[in-house]
Amino acid sequence: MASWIPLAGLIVLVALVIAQLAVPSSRAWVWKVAAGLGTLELAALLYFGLVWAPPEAFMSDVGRILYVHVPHVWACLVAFTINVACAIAYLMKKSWRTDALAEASAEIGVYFGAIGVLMGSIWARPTWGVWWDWDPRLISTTVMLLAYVGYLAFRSFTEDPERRAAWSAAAAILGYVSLPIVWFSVRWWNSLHQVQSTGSTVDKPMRAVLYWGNVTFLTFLLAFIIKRYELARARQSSALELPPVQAPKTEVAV
Amino acid sequence: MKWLSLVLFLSLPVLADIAKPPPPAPAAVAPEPQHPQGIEKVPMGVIEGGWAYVYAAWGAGLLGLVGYAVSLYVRRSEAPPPGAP
Amino acid sequence: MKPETRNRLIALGAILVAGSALAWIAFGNIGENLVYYWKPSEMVAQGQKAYGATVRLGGVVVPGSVLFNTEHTALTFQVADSHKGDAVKVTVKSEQTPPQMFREGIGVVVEGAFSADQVFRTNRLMVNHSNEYRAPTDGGMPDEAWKNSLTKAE
Repeated sequence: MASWIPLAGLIVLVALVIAQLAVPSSRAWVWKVAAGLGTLELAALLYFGLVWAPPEAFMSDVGRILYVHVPHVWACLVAFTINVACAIAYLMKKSWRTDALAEASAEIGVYFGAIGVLMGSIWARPTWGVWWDWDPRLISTTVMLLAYVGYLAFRSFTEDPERRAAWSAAAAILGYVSLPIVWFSVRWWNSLHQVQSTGSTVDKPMRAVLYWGNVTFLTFLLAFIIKRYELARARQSSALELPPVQAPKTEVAV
Repeated sequence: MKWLSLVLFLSLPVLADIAKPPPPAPAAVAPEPQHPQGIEKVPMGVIEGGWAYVYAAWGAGLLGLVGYAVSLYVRRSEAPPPGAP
Repeated sequence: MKPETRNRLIALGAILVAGSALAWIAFGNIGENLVYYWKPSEMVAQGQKAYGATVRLGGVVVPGSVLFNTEHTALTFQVADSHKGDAVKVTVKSEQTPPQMFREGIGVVVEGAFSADQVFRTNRLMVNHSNEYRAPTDGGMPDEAWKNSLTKAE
């Protein structure tokens, strides 16, 4: 795989995001394109990651887990960043849209993070020699995922949409502290997990496949977030329009 | 894999050259009294095989994608369509 | 208070709390209380206090120090702070078959106890992979690749 191909994939992805955000008429099909494109990219990743890429000098074929483990955790971190941006945006200017997007991105971040940690554990067994050890990276990642599970639980147990939106936004800002801790844990403290790879520590063909993996799972991230966002919006409108006990206090921001 | 093993095997003389310093004679390092024989240098530290782990990790990723997509599809019916009473 | 004002105050408060928590963790001395492993020099510096307690020791495997008896899976090697010749070294004994990646020069973390005879006995040997991913070269492992494969430790 030539090194410009992942970049091309990233440009297409950014174009889809822009279309979704800026061109309302495109919202009917962007998620379909993202899902279809993601599937094609995944098929290519299977070939490039499992067949085309060379084995690693010391990890041999086990090193191929790199191409899925890192992209999953990346997608997780991107999702949580979207979440905190929406939380701040909601508190600055109330909008049910940002509240729904915050909910969608948190759930998908937990999904990608949990799968990424599972993959890391599977990878640790043959390389480190153990499935798990409580090193700073693994502790902080576990705490981060539990914080967002708590965030989602808070959201699902809180009935009043206004209270839920405002206080879960505050919780999201607090929870986001865990993200830089996860990122820097391998630098601040002694750890079993290695520090982040950079371009120069990964050989060229492997780097291209790793970036391709990132593009692939970020494309799925887009498709999932759109659909999960629509679900959150539908629930909101039913909660805000159906008059159960109390009349809705606010109008749905359109 | 066979090819890799062959290359590694053929390169053993090279490695013997660069392995610094040569393994000390067992007697020099106070060998364990109960097993003085059979002490050897540990091999080079390259994982052999392990495809099961690769398939498990990639499989978890694929199952996760399908599973999450199904969960979105299932929950779609939970929320009434916009505008429904 | 208007809801908008209240929400903005919530945001301000949350950002302040989050920022100070992060600064406290990043720049405070929490790192000294959160020790995942000791380096050999740190453990030896503890003197007698280090004996007996179950701790983790981390460092690099000293080249040339590895002795392995396959029959009895008795593994002896030295762990050093770094690859420098004068780095503090500790002898480690393990009865476990090491992970396949175990080799001279690689980083390891071992869990066990240090005793008065200056030997660290472990039953949990973990190999610490570096952040490098390299394709194998045609010559197997030439001198340069071998050197580069050594875990970088100061």
